[in-house]
Amino acid sequence: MNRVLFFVGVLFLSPLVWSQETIKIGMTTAITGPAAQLGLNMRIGIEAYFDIVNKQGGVAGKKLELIVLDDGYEPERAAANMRQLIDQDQVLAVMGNVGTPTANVTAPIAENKKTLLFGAYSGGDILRPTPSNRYIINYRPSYVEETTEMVKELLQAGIKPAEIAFFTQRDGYGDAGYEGAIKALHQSGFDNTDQLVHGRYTRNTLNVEDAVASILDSPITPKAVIMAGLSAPSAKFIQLLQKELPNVIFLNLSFVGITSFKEALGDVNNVIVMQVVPSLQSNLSIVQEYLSSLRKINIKLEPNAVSLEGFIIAKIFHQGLLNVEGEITKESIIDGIESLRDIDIGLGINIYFDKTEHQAIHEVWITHFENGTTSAFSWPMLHKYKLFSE
Amino acid sequence: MFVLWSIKSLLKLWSLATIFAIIVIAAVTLYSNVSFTNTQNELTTHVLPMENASRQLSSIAASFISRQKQIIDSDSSKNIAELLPRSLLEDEFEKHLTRLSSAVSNNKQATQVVMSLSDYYHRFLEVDSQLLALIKQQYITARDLQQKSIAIELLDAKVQEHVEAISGRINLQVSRDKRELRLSLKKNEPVHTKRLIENVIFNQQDGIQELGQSVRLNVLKITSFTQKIIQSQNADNLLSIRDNEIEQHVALLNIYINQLKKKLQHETELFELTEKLESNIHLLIQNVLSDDLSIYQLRLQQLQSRHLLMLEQKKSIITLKVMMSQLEQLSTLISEQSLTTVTKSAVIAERTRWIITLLATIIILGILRFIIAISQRINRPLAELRSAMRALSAKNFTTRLKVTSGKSEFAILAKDFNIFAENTQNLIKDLDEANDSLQIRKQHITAILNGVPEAILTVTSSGIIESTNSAAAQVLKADKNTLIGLNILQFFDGNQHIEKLTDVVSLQQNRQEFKGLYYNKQPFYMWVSLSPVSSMNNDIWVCVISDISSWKLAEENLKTKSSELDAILENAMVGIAFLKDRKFLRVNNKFESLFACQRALIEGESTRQLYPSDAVYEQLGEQAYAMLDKGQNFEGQVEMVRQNGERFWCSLSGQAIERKNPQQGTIWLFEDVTRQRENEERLMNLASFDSLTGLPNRAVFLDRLEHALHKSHRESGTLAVFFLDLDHFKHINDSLGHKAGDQLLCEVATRLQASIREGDTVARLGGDEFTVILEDVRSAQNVARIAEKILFAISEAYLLGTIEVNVSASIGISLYPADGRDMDLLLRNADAAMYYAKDNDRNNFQFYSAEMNAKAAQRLAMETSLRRAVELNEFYLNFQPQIDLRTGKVSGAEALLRWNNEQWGNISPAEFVPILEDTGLIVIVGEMVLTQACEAYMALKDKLVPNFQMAVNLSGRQFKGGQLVPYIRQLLSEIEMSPKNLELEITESILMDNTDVAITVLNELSAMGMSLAIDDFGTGYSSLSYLKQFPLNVLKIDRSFVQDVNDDVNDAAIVDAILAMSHRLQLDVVAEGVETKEQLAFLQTHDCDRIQGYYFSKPLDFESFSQFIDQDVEGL
Repeated sequence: MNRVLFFVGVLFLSPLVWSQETIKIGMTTAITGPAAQLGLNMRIGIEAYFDIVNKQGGVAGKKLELIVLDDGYEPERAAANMRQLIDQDQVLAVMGNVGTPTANVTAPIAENKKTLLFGAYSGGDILRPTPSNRYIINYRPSYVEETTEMVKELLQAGIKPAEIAFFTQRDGYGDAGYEGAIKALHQSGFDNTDQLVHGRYTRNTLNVEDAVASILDSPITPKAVIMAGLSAPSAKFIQLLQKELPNVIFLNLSFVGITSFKEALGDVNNVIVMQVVPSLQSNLSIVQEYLSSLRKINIKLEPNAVSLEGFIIAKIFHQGLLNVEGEITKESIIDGIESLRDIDIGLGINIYFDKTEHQAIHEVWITHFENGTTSAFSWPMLHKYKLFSE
Repeated sequence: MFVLWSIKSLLKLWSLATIFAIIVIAAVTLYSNVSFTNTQNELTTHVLPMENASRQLSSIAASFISRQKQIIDSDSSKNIAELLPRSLLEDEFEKHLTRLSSAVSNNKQATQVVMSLSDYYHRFLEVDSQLLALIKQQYITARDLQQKSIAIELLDAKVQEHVEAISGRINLQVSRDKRELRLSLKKNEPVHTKRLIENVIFNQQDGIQELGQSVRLNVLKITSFTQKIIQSQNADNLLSIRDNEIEQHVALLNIYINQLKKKLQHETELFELTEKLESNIHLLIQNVLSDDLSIYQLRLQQLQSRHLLMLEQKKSIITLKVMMSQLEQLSTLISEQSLTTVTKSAVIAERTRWIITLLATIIILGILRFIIAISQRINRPLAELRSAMRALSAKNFTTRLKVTSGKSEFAILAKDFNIFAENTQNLIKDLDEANDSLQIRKQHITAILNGVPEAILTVTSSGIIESTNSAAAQVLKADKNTLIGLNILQFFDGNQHIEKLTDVVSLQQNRQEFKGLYYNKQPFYMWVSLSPVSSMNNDIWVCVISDISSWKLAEENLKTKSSELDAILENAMVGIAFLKDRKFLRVNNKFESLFACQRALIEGESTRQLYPSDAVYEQLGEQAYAMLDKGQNFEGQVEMVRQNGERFWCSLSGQAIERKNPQQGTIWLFEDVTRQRENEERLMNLASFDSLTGLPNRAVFLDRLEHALHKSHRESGTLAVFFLDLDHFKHINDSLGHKAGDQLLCEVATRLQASIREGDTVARLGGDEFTVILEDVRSAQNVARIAEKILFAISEAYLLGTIEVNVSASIGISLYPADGRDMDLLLRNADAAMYYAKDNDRNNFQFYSAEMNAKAAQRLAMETSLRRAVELNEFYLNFQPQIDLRTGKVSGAEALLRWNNEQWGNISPAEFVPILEDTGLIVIVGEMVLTQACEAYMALKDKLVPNFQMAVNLSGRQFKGGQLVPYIRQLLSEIEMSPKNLELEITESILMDNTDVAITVLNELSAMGMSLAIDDFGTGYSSLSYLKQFPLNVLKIDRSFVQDVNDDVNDAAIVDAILAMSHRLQLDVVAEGVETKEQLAFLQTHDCDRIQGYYFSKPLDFESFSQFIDQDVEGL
């Protein structure tokens, strides 16, 4: 935490803040409060990439300037920040906001004020309307896409629908994860979803025992648990349940935050985490670029998936800026990003946008925990799990 | 007194006296004014400051009141901080209070009131401070309350979390045990199982869960009571909530917690949790009840301080009321003081008034005395003057007045009178001398009288002649002596009823001509003037008579002639007017009726009123008088105006009355030719305008185009010719009737006219063909814009009756001089461009280009070749097999027309079939195709499946003329082919273009047993419901959909939908253009009936087709 604060301090003093003509980009995110880690890391990632661009002379002679306001993960403050960024600071776009509850208020403002809301850290549906909204462009896949993939692959691996259980936070985030999976199950032809075990816990507590109990009471012992929780309660849930059922597979939504999850979990197996960015161990060029730029800023900064996501969205945004024809305006930025078709930014897969496609990728990367370490996971590896050797 | 004074001196004396009196009045007024100013000073120096200060105090007191109101009404401590600081008001108040007390220092009573006011003021300040402090305290308490309630909520959440944790852990334990139980039951481990069962039962019976729930519930209730506490309005209520509600739950909570602790005393972890829970609950209860700063205490304080606040508030109001009443008292005192001062001033004013009245009376009396003195000085001398004047009147011209010395006005008058009397005496003497010279003049006059030719007679009032002049004898034919003594009346003809002189006088007021009788009684005409010599005296009359017989005779002859002319003039059938200087001298009856005017009103007036404008009046004047001046007649037609404002066309001709001198007057003939002109105009219109739309017709269009070309040629200008044809107009005419069609054409005409400039021409050539000439066009872009405008105007919806119709148009454009310099070429090229536009999807415009001409030429050449091809029978058929997907067999074939020509090579049907259709050759070729296809079927019949369908395409032209059905009937019967094996393919457009005819023909064909197929489905209207109207059996999906069925989701959906719908409508579906395995697979899975395409076979000639049937179909 201290390291992060130090870094933030360095950024405040960095010269790009007062360079003469800049391209102003806004960001309202949690700098304080329970979600501060997410907000701070998104910001580190974005500014790390902007730093690279600015050192090379910026875009069309103008440096990129990120104006960050703290909303403490509170929707009301997020709305006020959004208005200030657009009306007073005259930013050309807002990017890297964190969270679904804040997105619920910032997305309508962006649309209303015709300003791009780009790469928000949320898989919520509000940011993925059908048909797509011109002023909302995302990088990451939706929670529905994550859970759909989980369900599809579990069924593919031979697990029966009745053998799937759920562990979710008792709020909108938990609902989103649960409903996504239920939808996927319905699509696969399984209708008795009411019979599936669904353990829930109260937000901001570690009271997961009831949830564990309800899974133990289940007449059919589940083989896989789909989880939409935060890292600490999820870790506790896994530890408790693994004592009884050592072979259950735990599948977690990307929101869990792999770094803190890893710390909380310790030495466990059979835990799979969906990620919207590649593994930090991967050789992909964007990961290398990210790691080296992070080291350049501060050797002590720990790489993590959140700041990598910030780095990636900043890079996509920069590509969009380079594609702008003529003057850079609120509207031309959108056109620029929409013209990024099948572009390789070093992710291993191409990103694709157009007038109706407003989400860069639909793929997820999967990581699993093996004896306390994380490594890349692919679905065929499921068969190596003990469950299947029984 | 003053007897010897002149009136002037007296007046001077009187003026002096008046001036003196005015000075006295002024002095008195001045005194009064000074005393008034004193009063005013008194008011401004003493009374006003007092009043002012007291008013200021009242207003500051009002500010105090409103400030206090703000304090009481404020809803946060922030509002209080924003209040006006009281010290400002205090400073003001004290300042004015000091001023007031100094102002009232000489008024004992007022000083007392002011002191008491100051006393109350200080009391008020104290109360006010108290009030403010209390309110501030209230806010602090309220803030504390709020913080407390947040703290309680947090504690509540913590308690809930702890309870959830305890119950969760127990649940988990139970579930673990149950699970272990299940497992050990499977493994048959009795001892272990027994322990487990006890455990489970113990846990379940223990009721820990229920205890936990009770704790949660009671905590929730206590939390909810804190809200009640915060909202309660009096201390009693508060007490009752504490004693009756909360205490009860607190007691219960303590019991439950103790029970819980007891039950969990062996479970270390849970026991610790429970202790935490207990401490949190105690903290919560402290916050709610027991603490000094608990919600309960805080609310109690708040309520008490509110009570205090209300008391203070009342006190403050009373103090303020007293202060206000003191201020009121003060103002009463002040008004009393000002009243005294004013009264003093009023007494002085009253006194002044009396002095002025007295002085005025004295002045009036003085004036009266003077008037009497002056009148005595005038009357006496006047009496003397009057008697002297009377003597003078009695011709006593020697009368004189006595002259006195002195300067009085009458002494001067007496001198003047004497001079006047002397002058009069001299005048009388002169008069006598003049009388003598008058006699001499009389003799002169007599001589003159005798010299004139008229008879001049003097007669008495009864008519007796007294004297005559010498001419009288000649006039009356009697000598002078005879005449004297005769009565003058006997020379008047008795028929004129003249009996006395006055009769003559009254008659001669009208005319002076009379019928007279000579002395010998012969009649004659005479001119008589009879009048008395003097108007005063009627005794002597003078009568002048002259003989006018010969003159009268001449006049009568003239009159007779003139009335004949009048009769002719008045009864003339044309309007006639005599003019001079363009003013009416005279007009006849016809003119009056023609112009709806009355001659009396216009005679003498200008003829301007006949013309509609000054310009016409001037212009006609110039033209007409130029000719009249040359001695020629003028003739012309001009629009004129009747008096009632109506305009009409008038033919007019004018000539001078005297040819050499037109200024002497002119005569004009007017004739209304409006009707005549209208007839001419209508005849003209009938020849040149389209009776339906009112647009110019072809003849006028050509005429205008010729003119426009001449003009453009002369001025090196450019022009554009549009040929415009409505798309599918015939369809509207056929489906909605000619009346609707006509209405549509009129509307199109209107829109066309509205779309172009005023000077340009729109014409209708006939049918739905229109043309437009645009002159002086600046650029092709400009022309294109107008064409776009026209297309847009025409494409707007039309409301024909109640039906809304949409029509589009195709426009061909040629430009002068680029596309042709003469009319023929321009028209031909515009026409060619228009056909090009029609081919180009319609609803567009095309500029002519040379390429079009080349195309047209090529087309013409092909047309010639085709005519020959029909004669030489160059056409032949190919057959494309159709495979039944259910049986996998060849179940039909489509006969396709082919043409091989030396000049054109193997040319695509898409190119030559439209020409065949346009030229009508398609009818012959179509019959040939039918014959050849049916013969081919008959030749192969034995090898084919029984329900084989030979499909032949029909053209729209074949439906017309009624030849198709009989031809097919005869053909089939000749070659003995069953109609069931013949399938006729028609396109959607045939159905849409010829609905009525199509239905009839198709029904007949269907009744004969033939199968009817709709071709190229999906490319046209594609309305399946519409197709239901027709007796169709087969539907062929267009190749364009089949092509992309695997790549394009939309196409796949369309094909899927067509298949599903068709089967519901019981139509067989043939898919055209199947080329790949994937397409086939798709169609198979979607239950398509038949397939046709290169995947199985291209179109084959007869021999190859025959061989194809022999093979087995591969690929299914």
